[in-house]
Amino acid sequence: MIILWGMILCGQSVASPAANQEAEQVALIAKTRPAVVSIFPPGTNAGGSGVLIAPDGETLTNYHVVGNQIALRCGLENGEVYDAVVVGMDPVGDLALIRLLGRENFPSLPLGNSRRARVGQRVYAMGNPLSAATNLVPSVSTGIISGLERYQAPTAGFLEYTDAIQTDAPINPGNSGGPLIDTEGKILGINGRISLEKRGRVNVGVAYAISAQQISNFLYPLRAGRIVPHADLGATVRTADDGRVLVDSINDKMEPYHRGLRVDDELIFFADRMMSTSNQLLNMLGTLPAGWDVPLTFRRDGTARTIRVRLTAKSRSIPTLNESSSRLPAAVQAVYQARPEWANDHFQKLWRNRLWARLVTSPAMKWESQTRLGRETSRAEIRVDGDSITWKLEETQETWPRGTRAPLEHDDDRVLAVVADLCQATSAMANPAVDYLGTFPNVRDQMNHVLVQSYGELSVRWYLDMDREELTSIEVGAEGRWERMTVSWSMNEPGTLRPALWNWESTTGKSAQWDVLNAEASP
Amino acid sequence: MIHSFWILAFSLCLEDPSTDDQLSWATARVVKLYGAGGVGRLEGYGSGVFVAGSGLILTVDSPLLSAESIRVVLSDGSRRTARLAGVDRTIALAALQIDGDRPTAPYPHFDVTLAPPGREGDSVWAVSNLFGIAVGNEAVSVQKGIISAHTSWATRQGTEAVPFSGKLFVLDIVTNNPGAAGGALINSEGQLVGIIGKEIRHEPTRMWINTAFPMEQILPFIERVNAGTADKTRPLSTEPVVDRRELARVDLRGVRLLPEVLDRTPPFVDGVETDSPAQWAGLVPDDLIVYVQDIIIPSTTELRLALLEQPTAEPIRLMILRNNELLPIILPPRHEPTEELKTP
Repeated sequence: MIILWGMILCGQSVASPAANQEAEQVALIAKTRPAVVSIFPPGTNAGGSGVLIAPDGETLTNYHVVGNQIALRCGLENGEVYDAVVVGMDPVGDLALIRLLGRENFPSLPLGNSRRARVGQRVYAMGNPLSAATNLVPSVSTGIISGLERYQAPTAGFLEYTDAIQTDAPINPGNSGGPLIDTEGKILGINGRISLEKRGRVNVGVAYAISAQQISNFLYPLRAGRIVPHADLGATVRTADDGRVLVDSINDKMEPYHRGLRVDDELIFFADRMMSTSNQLLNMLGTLPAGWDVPLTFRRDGTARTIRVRLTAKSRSIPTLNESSSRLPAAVQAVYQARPEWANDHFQKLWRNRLWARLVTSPAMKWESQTRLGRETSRAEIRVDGDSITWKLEETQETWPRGTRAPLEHDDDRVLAVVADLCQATSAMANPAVDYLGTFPNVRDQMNHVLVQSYGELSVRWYLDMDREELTSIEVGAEGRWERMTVSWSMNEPGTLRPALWNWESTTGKSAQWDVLNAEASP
Repeated sequence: MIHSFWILAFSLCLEDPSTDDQLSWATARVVKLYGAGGVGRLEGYGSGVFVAGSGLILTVDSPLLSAESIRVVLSDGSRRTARLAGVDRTIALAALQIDGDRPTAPYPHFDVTLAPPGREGDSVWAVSNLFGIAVGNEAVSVQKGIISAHTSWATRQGTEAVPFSGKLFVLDIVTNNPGAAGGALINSEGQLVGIIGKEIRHEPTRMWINTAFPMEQILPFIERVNAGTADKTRPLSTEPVVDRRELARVDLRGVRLLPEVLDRTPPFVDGVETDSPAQWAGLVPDDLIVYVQDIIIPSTTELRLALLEQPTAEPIRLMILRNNELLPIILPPRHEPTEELKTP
């Protein structure tokens, strides 16, 4: 019967002889291998691997390959050696983004969709294991995906592999940072860790790759020149004997507590996954940079409740880059700028300047709004004019926009007072510094570029959509108050920015949204 | 002819993502085992395979089973306890029976009578919880390879020769890792063709080899278990017996160790022989050897065992503790390799 099942499934495969399949495999490797990089960090005789992901030289590798180096030497299959500069790093997740210099037409591979990866699927690992490629032509090994959603605990706070792809394709020292490629030639992950025991530091058929999903979450924060902090929930969980995932401890100085999560609550859903083991939470958490907003569903006394929390930064030790910049090659010096606690300020400035210019010079952004917060007279005003942004809340009243069904009941006064307070404080910010953080989900869960201005405890986040790089929402928050106000715009009417959604998240875990467009449309 | 044709068809098919279904069918039949161990080189975890709906599990005979009750985690994450139902010390296999009444629904299991004997060249999948990677309802690991040989080899475990003299499957994939023993070897039709064996080495070369017991050698044991005539004495909770005389003969490459005054004497360097690899490498008295080739070394016995496992003509990587600082040291072989050996 199983043989019959084989017949049905394989009716088409039978028609293609094994020789064809082998030819396809050879063609796939010929197509993908030019994008595989051999990396030689200076001052060591160790080597690692990487993979080009953009024609301008952007290359993914492991943090443990780059270490604290600013400049690297990189070789490609064509035998050429290029200078490279560090762009961003993620020491906890063992990722680094570097940039090969000297060409604008590097061969590159696209990131695949690791969520569609399946156990049993054929994969190829490429790189420079044991520094065998003296002619810079990368080695290829193949195997299957042995497991998914693997968790491998960190060593001293570094190199935590979460939601990782496990493969039996042979991976040896030197393969680190190289790609795990699927049969379509897309990057499923970055190989970086192997299980080992008695046999020493060689392949034992168990290797782990950082998933393309995790990489895409960190990609823009890395592009921003950051040393990207990982997300922390501010709570730990345990798996109970009956298999439920329960909150074991919670930090009362962090957001989940202030949104209502308590010890012994059962965690049901986090980010985009059902929670069935405590590893699942570590898995999801590890794939997210700090500052990410996630939905979290928990159950207490039989009642489930969903809150939205912003994940804070895991405490960490920040690596110091090897600042012997006098010895940096000229090509690297031109694209490197030091900044404490950042990987490379040069790339930060490129992004920040471009996006900020988009924000303040676009005609659509020279915008002044009078949004009615209250029924009659309350008006919020946000004005972007040149380099200055002003927020103002005129007059307040106890009434709320039509269409609002008493969202906060007795909290109304207080909420309004906080809004006024935030607006006033923001206006007092004297052109504070702006940083580009990368892409994060906005209040509607769309991925947006985020610019942030910080002024003491107060921060303003500017969200720009990724395609048109236009403002979609502004958020004001005060650290330690667990309150944020967001105003976002409907993008259906290009050029006209009508406030479409006011969003309020309060300390009590209550949140309210006022759909301004609809409220105003109703009689 | 026809038969091999369909096997080819299937192995092509298994390259597809559609294998996911078939492999999840197989992983649902492999369980995670937890028992005695968790100290030194003894893992407290292992793998097992359901071979009957009543809850009969096959695994290897190991110190893990010296616990009175073995904890079993099923593929859906649910937990059971199991008791030893029989051992066969000649093939080093054991059977466990899930505690309690007959289940209302049969446990997902392999039909052991179904599989044709595995042959050299067959594509196989090894399904096990190697390294204890998966916990709870997480799926155990899958590796793919072929049966390289169906043969009998003299093998050893630690310093001890393995008594088993029957035929083994030798595999071309690194299946035999900590925790993998007792896992399933399935063919391209999803049938159970073998049980993954313990970590053993080829006696003449001391190379680690990857092996599985062919099912046809196991069937008589299952019959004895079902008939209630199988041996049921629990294994001892100790590590495999180390041959002290052989350990005493291990070449320490010029390192003199503290005399073994304690059960677990820490591996301090007591002295260094003149013109020995230890001296060339710069080892000095009072250095504490912490790692040999990335394996942590808690005692002089472990150090001798670790050195025994190293090829004599290869350098050995050590990590030593000197003045509270960890230092990497390369301990060269006694003699430089001959010219022929150096040729790439």
